[in-house]
Amino acid sequence: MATPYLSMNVFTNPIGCSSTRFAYLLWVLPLLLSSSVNAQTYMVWGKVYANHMWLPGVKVVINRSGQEAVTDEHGEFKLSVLSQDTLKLMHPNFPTRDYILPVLTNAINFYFDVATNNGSWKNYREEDRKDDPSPQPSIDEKQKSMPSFGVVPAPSSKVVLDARFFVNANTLAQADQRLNAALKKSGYPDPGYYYIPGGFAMVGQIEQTERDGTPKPQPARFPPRLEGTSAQFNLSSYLQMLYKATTGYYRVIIFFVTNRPLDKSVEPINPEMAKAWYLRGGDFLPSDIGKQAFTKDHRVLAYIYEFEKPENSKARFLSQGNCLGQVHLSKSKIIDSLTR
Amino acid sequence: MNETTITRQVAQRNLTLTWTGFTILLTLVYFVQTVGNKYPGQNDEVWDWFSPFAFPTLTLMIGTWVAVNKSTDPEQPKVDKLLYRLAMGAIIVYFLFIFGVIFSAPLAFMSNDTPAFEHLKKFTKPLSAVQAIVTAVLGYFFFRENKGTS
Repeated sequence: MATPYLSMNVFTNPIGCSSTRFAYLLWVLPLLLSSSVNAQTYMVWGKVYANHMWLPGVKVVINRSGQEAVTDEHGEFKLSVLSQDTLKLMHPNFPTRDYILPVLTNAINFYFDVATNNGSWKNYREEDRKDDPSPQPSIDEKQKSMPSFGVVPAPSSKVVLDARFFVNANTLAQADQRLNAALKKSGYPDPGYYYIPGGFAMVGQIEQTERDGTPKPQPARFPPRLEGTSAQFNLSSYLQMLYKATTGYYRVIIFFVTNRPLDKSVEPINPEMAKAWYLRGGDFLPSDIGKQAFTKDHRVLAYIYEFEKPENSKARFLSQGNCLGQVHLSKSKIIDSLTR
Repeated sequence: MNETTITRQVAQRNLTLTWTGFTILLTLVYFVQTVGNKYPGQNDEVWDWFSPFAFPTLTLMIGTWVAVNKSTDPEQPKVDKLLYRLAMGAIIVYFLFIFGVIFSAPLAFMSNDTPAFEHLKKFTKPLSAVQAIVTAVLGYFFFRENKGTS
């Protein structure tokens, strides 16, 4: 007699517990169905490169979920995505890139060049992963020994250094020695090195200057973080700071030694990128690059990136510098050191 | 006149003038800082920060003082001179505290990179506490019923 009792309980009490459950199911079922339809995920096997070289350390983030992965030493990453998700690709040496995935029906192999902002994909095949799939970047053996600079952002000012400073340089290593010695004489710490097509880039540490480009005296010159200013205390500076907002001025000087045009972008940079340039650079110029000939076609370019940090807001890049590139190199005494 | 007392009207006048003088000085400092663009994009916020420390009390003091001066009562009530000095001292200490906060902003910036307005905001609560004490002391002179000598 248990069954009739149950059915009585269900059908003769429509306002009771059973009807509540039924209504609940009516609400939840479409939600469950829709979520099961929309939540179909697909695996993305990605490879990220720049300047024909696999790029490690690229953070790949799914905009919708915030899920992220970082490319390994082969530029590879793996993420579980939804159809038409947007991937954000971030690397300190390149502008942040967005890529909207297509309507997916399968797992895909995904390739992205952060230097040119070009992405492509095809349906996943295991053999593609094993055989370094197309588009196959050609890996320059020389690049393996130090990081690649990538696309060069437009500087605040620039200078092509006079060829007379490098008349005795026959190899890139000798040009490097000349520049390195000049930097040391001018009080700069060891630079960071990067590979660029046709030569190398040498990145100086971010330094604090006066508005006219004169370096601040130590320890304010190379502060651990960007401050509004690091003034020495005296009555004049105190009064000035009492009635005026103080602003810190910073710059990064990068030397490019190359016989090829630079791959440039007009995207603005920020101080974090500039700091990362220095920190991620190689410690020295590898001999395989250093032994290359420094020819009459080579140019030594100085790109100066200026930043200002107002007292009450974040540091910002100055697309138009406070002074000319030549003035920066003179005030920093680099020109003097090269002349001697 | 008894040496230990002072007419309330005189006390009110002196206290009001002192408060007004400090308020003008404070406004002048703010004006010069605004002209020098000390707080770029934050001028209104800075004004909103320091005006409550000076102006509400000032308007009350002036209002009461004017009302008392209009009074035709020939018997001028008197207050204890010591209390008057205490009130005057409280006003001076209070405004010195405000100026101290403003003038120490560059030092804070030099030592730990604190922006000026952030430095001012750090002292909002202590200043409000001191302001409450000073207002209570002033209340004795401005908002007490006229009952003759204290």
